[in-house]
Amino acid sequence: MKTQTDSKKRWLLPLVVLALAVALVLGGCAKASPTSGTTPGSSQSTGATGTGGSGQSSSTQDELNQLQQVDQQTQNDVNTLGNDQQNANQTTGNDQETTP
Amino acid sequence: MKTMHTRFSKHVMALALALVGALGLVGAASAASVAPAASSAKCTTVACVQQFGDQQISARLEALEKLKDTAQNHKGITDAQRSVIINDANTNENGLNTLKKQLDGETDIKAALADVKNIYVQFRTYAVVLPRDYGEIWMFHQQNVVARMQDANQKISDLIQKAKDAGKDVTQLQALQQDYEAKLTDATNHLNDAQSLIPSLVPANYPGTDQTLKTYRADLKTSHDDIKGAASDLHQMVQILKADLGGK
Repeated sequence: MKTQTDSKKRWLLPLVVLALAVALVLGGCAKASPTSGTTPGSSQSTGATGTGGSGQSSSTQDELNQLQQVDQQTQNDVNTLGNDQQNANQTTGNDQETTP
Repeated sequence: MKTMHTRFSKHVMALALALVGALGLVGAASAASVAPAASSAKCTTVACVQQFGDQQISARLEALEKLKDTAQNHKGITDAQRSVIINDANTNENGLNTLKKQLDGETDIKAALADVKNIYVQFRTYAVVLPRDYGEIWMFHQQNVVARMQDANQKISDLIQKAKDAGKDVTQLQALQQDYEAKLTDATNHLNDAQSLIPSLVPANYPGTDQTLKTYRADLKTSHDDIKGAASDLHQMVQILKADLGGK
């Protein structure tokens, strides 16, 4: 009877140690997962400036539209700048001193 | 008898017409002495000098009002820039109106003549103020266009990078952007040069202002030409980017 109890105790200690070790390893993996997950995640986040994804193409379209607007405004300004040039070069009168 | 009477009547008619003509000529001559049209006419009365001076002032006030209208209705300049022009025109108008009041109150012809001289010497409306201020409107407008184009440069870089990432050949785009940047830099330099001349464009520096105005206008023309070149670069870049990146 005593021999049976002793053999049970002999298995208990290694089992507890193993359980603790497994728990530690699992805990470590769980803690590490957010940082290790950046590798696949990063390819998605750079998608905004990189390849593919509907969000990316919409952003490119926005940028193109904005640039097109600047182009349009600039073309209009180039025309009106011509009027400014004419005004600046006009002779509006004579300042030659005249004695009445 | 009848013939003699008719002849006499004809003579009287001819005389009357000659008299009317002579009176007309005298009237015109006297009017010319009051309001001389040409510089050769000389005033002999204070009223004549005053009328001449008032006409000169009135023409300048009208030209300054036109300048204010131009600034007021200009869509390419900011409110602050508009104020610079309008305030300057107001200062000149106030000065001319004060001078007009002084001239109209003169009783001595020499004092009246001195007032007329001041229309030119103190104001130089046509020779200095108007060319400088119209030039300033041109300069302000250009500064605003250049600023907007420079702001757009980062967007151009981003889009060229996207075209490159998409496997497009961006050699032409890069060359256009390089030229665009160089032209905007040159425009900025010439605009700065033009702006630095403004403080010397004052009536006291006349007639030296004639040469300064030539340089001022030349700088503004060069920057204007740079803007036209950069605008053409921009337009070409937009067309290429639309084709490369599928813009509408």
